[in-house]
Order: sequence, then C-alpha cells, then structure tokens
Amino acid sequence: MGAGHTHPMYVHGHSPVHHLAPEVKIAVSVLFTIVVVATPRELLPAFGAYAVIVAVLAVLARIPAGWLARRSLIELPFVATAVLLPFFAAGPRTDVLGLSVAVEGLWAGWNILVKGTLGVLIALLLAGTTPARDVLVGLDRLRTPQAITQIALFMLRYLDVLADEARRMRIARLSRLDDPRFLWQLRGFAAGLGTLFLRAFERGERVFLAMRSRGYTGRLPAALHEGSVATARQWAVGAAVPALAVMVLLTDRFLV
Amino acid sequence: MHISNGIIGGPVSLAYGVVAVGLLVLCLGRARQDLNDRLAPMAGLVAAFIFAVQMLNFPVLPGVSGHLLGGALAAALVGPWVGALCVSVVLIVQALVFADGGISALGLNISNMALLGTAVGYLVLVGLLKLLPRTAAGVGLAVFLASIVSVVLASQGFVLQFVLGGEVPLTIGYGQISATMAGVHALIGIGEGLIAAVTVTTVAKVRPDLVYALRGARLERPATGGVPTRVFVLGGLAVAAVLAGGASYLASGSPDGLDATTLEGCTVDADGVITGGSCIAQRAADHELGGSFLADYGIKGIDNATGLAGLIGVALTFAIGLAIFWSVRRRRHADTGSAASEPTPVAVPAEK
Amino acid sequence: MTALLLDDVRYAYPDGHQALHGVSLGIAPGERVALLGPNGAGKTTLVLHLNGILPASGLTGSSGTVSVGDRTVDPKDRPGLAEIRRRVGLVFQDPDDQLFLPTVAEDVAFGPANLGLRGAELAARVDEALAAVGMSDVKDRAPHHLSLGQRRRVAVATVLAMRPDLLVMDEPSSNLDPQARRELAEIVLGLDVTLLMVTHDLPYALQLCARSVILDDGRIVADGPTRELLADADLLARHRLELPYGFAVPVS
Repeated sequence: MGAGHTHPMYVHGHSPVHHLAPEVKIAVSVLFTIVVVATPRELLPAFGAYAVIVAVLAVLARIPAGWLARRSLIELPFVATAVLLPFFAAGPRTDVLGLSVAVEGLWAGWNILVKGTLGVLIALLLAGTTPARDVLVGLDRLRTPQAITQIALFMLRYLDVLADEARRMRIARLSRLDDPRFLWQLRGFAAGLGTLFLRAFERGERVFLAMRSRGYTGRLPAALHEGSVATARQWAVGAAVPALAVMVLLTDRFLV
Repeated sequence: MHISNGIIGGPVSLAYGVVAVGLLVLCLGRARQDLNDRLAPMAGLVAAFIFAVQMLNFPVLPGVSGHLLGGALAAALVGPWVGALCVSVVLIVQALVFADGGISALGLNISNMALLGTAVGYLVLVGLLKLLPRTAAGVGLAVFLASIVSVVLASQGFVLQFVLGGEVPLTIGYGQISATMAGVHALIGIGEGLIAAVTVTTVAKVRPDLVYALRGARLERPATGGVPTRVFVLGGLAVAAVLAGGASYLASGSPDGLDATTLEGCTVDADGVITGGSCIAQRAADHELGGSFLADYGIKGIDNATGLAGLIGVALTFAIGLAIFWSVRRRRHADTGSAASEPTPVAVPAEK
Repeated sequence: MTALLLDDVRYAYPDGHQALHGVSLGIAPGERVALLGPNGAGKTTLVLHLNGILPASGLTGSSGTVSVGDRTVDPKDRPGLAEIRRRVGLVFQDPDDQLFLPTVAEDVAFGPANLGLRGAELAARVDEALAAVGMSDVKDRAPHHLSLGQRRRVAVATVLAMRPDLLVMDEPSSNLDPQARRELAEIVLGLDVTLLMVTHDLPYALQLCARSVILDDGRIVADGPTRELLADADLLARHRLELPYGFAVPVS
C-alpha cells in the first residue's frame, strides 16, 4: 500500500518551476495551451517561438530532455497517424519528394502534429514539476468545486489501493500455479474484477473512516499546505508565459 | 476516445467547454444530495477503476484514441450525477497530470464521455431494469447492454463535434467516420459491457447497498429453470455482435447529405480549422495489404457491403489494438497485475 | 461522570447481518479497559459507533445511544459529530488505513489541521505527538517506508495530536514483533488518557488494562478485573479466547 504510485509522472527537484505554486502552474498551462491551439496553422514562426518557450521552461525546471522525449513518445501513436493525412485528403495535390500529397492534408496533418505535441509537452512540464496531490491543491485554490477535488483525491488514493490489491490477488493466483499468459488470464481476470473492486472498496472505506475519525469534512485542511500559496509575484511571473505567447501570436499575425 | 489538442476547431471547443461547465454545475447541484459518507469513497473508487481501465488504449483516428469509457459502470454504481462527475475527474486528472487528452479539448472530451456516455448509460440501464428481472443475470445483462449503447453513442458525440468543428475535404465522408467510430466502439462496448456487468453483479450480490441503480433493493433469486449463466452470456455476445455489425451498417446507410457537404469542398478557414481524418488505421492496413475489398470500402463509400466491410475493418483495427495492448501488457505484466483469486460462476469468454 | 457510556446499542449491517445485540458499557475517566472477543464478535463494529461513524444517518436497523463525556452521538448533528471525533481518537488496526499523506509530519498534522490549528501551534502539536510515541526522528519520512511497528506508533501519534479524551485502539499488538509490541506497551502505559483497547492478545490486555470486557456475538458476556477474567478458563473457552501456550496469569 502506498508504494508511491501516485506520483508516476513527477520528477523530483527543487527548481524555480517546482517551487511555483500549483495554481499558477495550472492556470499558465491552460492559458498557454489555449493560445497554441488558437494559433492559425500557417504561422510557422509562432510555433517555433512556442517550442523555444517550452524548451526554456524545461531547462528552468531542470526536466531532462530524455524524460520529456520518452514520456511524449507514449502519445506518439495518437499524433503520428496525422502523418498519413496528406495521402488521403481530397483537393489540390502537390509533389513532395516525388510523392503526390494533398496540400490540404499536409496542412491538416501538420496542425494536429504541432498542436498535439506542444500540448503534450506543456502538460508534461506541469505533471513533471507538480506532484499529483499539489495539482489537486491548486485546483482547490482555483475554486474548483469541492465535490470534484474530493472525488479526485479519493481517486488517486484508490489507484494505489487497486494496484496493491490487484498485485496481492495476482500473487495469490500465481502461487497456485495459474498460467500468467495474457489471453489465458482473461477469464480469471474478468472473474476477479468484481472481487478486486469490492476488496478495494472495503479497504478504501476504512481509509475514509479513518479520515472521518480525524475530522475530515471533504477537503484537505488548508493548514497542511499553506506554505505554497501563490504570491502576487508568482502570479506575475507565471502570467508572463501566456502573455509572451500571446505577443508572439499577435506579432506573427499582424506584423510579419 | 480522448481528443488531443488541435483536432477540433477553437470556437467549437470553446462552445463545448461552456456547455460542459454548465452541465457539470447542474451535476454538482444534484450530486450534493447524493455525495454522502457512503458515496464519497465509492465515487473515488469508481473514478480510479475507470482511470485504470482507460489506460488500455489504441489509436482510432488521428489524434483520437479508443478505449473503455466507463460511463454506464459509473451510472450503475453511483448514479448519473455523481457518475458524470467521476468520469470528468478522470478526464481532468488525465489531462493535467498524465498529459492524456488535450487541455483545450477537455470540454469536448467531458461532453462525450462524461456527460453523454453517463446519461445514455443511465437511461438505458433504468429502462432495462424495468423490463428485466432483478436477478444477477438480469442486472448483468442490463449493465452490459447499457454499456454498449452508451459507448457507441458517446463515439457519435465525437462525430458530431468533428462535423461541426473539423472541416477538411477528405475522400472519405463523415458517414464512414461515423461508421468507423460506431463499429470500433461497438466492439469496445462489448469488452466494457463484460467488465461492467461482472463488476456490478459481484457488487450487487455482496453489497447491494453500494449499487445506486438498484436503490438499495436486494437481488432476487432467479426463478427455477431460469436462463443458465452461460447461455445468458453467449446470448448477450450475439446481441452485441449484431449491434456491432448493424451499427456500422446503419451509420453508413444514409450519410449522403453529410457526404455531399463534405465533398462540396470546404474552404480553409484562416483560423486553421482542424482535421481529423478517415479511418486511417484501417486504410493504412489495407494499403499495406493491397486488399481490393477494403479499398473498395473507402472509395465507393456507400453501398450494401459497407456494413460488412465496416465490421471487418473494425475487427482489423481492434486486432491491431489488441496486439499492441498485448505486447505492452506482456512487457509490463509484472506490475500491472491483473487479478482473480477464485473463478466465480460467471464464465466470461475471452474477447478477441 | 463517565468518559464513555453506551446504552443498549444495536446495529444491523445493510446486508441484514445483526452485528450488535444491545451493548451497554460505561468507562470512567482515566480508566484503561480491554475489549476482548473472538474474531467476528462485533468489536470493530462497536468501535465505529464510538465516534459516530456508525450508524450512518438514515440507516434503519440500529438503536441505542452512545455518549462521550457530556455529549451524545447523533449522526444528523454534524458540528456535534466533529466534537465527538475530536474527543474520541480511533487508532485503526491497519496503520495503512490510517496513514495516507506523503510524510509522517503531514499525516500527524491532518487531524489537528481539521480542528483549525495552523502555523506554529500546529507544528508544536505535531512535535508533541511524535515525541510522545518516540517517533520524532522519522518526521519527514514517508509512512510507507517505515516498519510496521513504527507505522503503528505514528498512527497513535496522528490521534494523540488531536488530544483526545478517549483513546481507542483496535488490535494494537497484531503482527508486531516482540520488541515492537513491548515498546508500544511502554508508550501506552506512559500516556495520560482514558483507553479502550480492542484485542484478543490476552497477555497484552493484562499488561495494559486493569479491567476487561468480553464481547461475543454482539453481546457483552463478562465485565470485570482482567486478572479474574483471564483466570476463568471456562469463560475464556466458551468465547473462543485462549491464553498463549505456557502462559499463566501471574499471581500478584
């Protein structure tokens, strides 16, 4: 239990980005992503500038480039199919390296590729510098309704419990010579799902009772994390990132 | 069915975001009455469970993934209001903490999976529970069918968004996109239906108080001479297969109107409106295989063979997905422990 | 004046199982009482009644009253429940059910922070509680990296930090190695609280509690000095309780 599954994406560190209050980082990520998505796909220099901003943030956060690359690879299959679009779109065609591709498809593929990748990188920077629980604290401070943060808190807690119970049940099964191969496991897996669910629930229910016993009323007490509340300065620093992105967008759109 | 950033145009994403926020506020209001001591940890577990099953995913369209959705399961266990919140929480955490699904596409994703999926799942479930006996088999079948319908309709939610917000002249029309999504998701729905049915019936047997859709009622013992579990499960699968074939057939039956608008050549909007695509995965596969049958599917579009071709294409996509899932699973099976202690009487055939 | 008073508490689980068949019990301030009973006797169910977690409001099949000091538990009275939960500190059997925050210090601070404490006062409370169980040096470590004995002591600290009037421990000695078991006993003996300890570890009850109550099948079947109850071999045998092999109740 509690073997640390709740921070699978967190890169431990003490960079300025790590120390930024979570609510600032969430707001910045959301705004920055919106600016990226709102950028017309023809403004190539703007996307270059966004990539530079992301790179600078990654360096500031001391997130290794290798980690970012590996993590974004997980998303690759979903974005990479965009590469096929030029071959399948209708409309005027052009020749690239001797292949006939649709101009429109080329742009469409590029659009998905660049916005998808930038979006993933921004989200990875947030996740890499902010433990999951702090993201919830940030959401709470951004006035997210308590019902949502409470469900999210329990969800993260239960992910541990589920993984833990699943591991124990699997070990119990393997020690009785169950075949561990995937398709052979499906039957036992499906049959065990309901049991897993109940076991996890009853364990989690005890956790909840223990929390209630110590006066829990639906939100983590603010006193536990008052050290990290965003200062006006942090908000100002954070706001600079989307502001910079907007400036890039406007400059590119109207001046170039 | 996570949509990445940049698939659907900005104005449509924004509009869906506004609608999603509005409906979530409504859910919050209703959920406040439901979210008592018992339901709060249950909601967390349902969210965690859905989070876990959504981890098995594969690409369906460019920038759009296919996976189990969990709306009907959530509706059965915690009700429609809290259920919609649970799925929303999963999507929010995935977007912020796991970089899964675009941050700017959250409104779109929440609308399809959390709101549409859960609402449809709940309505179908409540309707079926009125018709079917309240035995383990009856509840299981109701949850199973509700899952399939909910997943397929949620996939059509994406198609609507794509029609509204992604305009690119493709050789393939919206009808085929709709058919592909419906077909793939009918298969996903079968898998999800099995998982949801097994889970809900187990919980209903041991702790009926935890199943919202039963409203505290205990399960009835099946009347003597009732349908044996195996027959019930096989029957359910047959229904699902009919649905899977039928859904893609129907979906592609009359897409002329949509096709016509597409082919009329949309102008490219200066704002860089986004595309998705056709059933790339299948077409890519058919490209490599050089199979004329499936190629026909793409070019001719609407004819009588579409339902069948759709089904084959869907099966192919699903096989690819399963293969990926399998290999990933093999590599990681040490830590993603799947589990069962004793086989329960519910026999669940392996889905392939 | 009683620290805890139960009057004819009955409880049935939602699945229909009747767990408590009318339990009445009084504990005086400063008293240390062991609640003995076999597995499935209803001990844990009873414990959950002590701070109002059971019965859930609106549930049928339960009756009776539980009073802590001058207050009666009422599931519908939320502010009242908060006060009850401050007064009754529950230490769960499995410390993993209790500890859920990333560091020991945060977990110990969770309870008092819920009471509204903050800043220096909160920090002082945390230090005091950890010192009381001898765990000050693991303050900044992750609970799941500690040994079971250490985790159980931290779990006690999480409750002590709320300065409870009544400390309730569920199976405190289970699965502990002999040394950890003894250390925990020494800590408990050093605390100045009213204690209700649920256990089937009879020597532990003898060491820590002058008085014992035997609960079986949802009923209190014996109540008296621990030494006398443990000396009554027939009574123990009737209720599936046994002294460990080779153990004899020491004659004082």
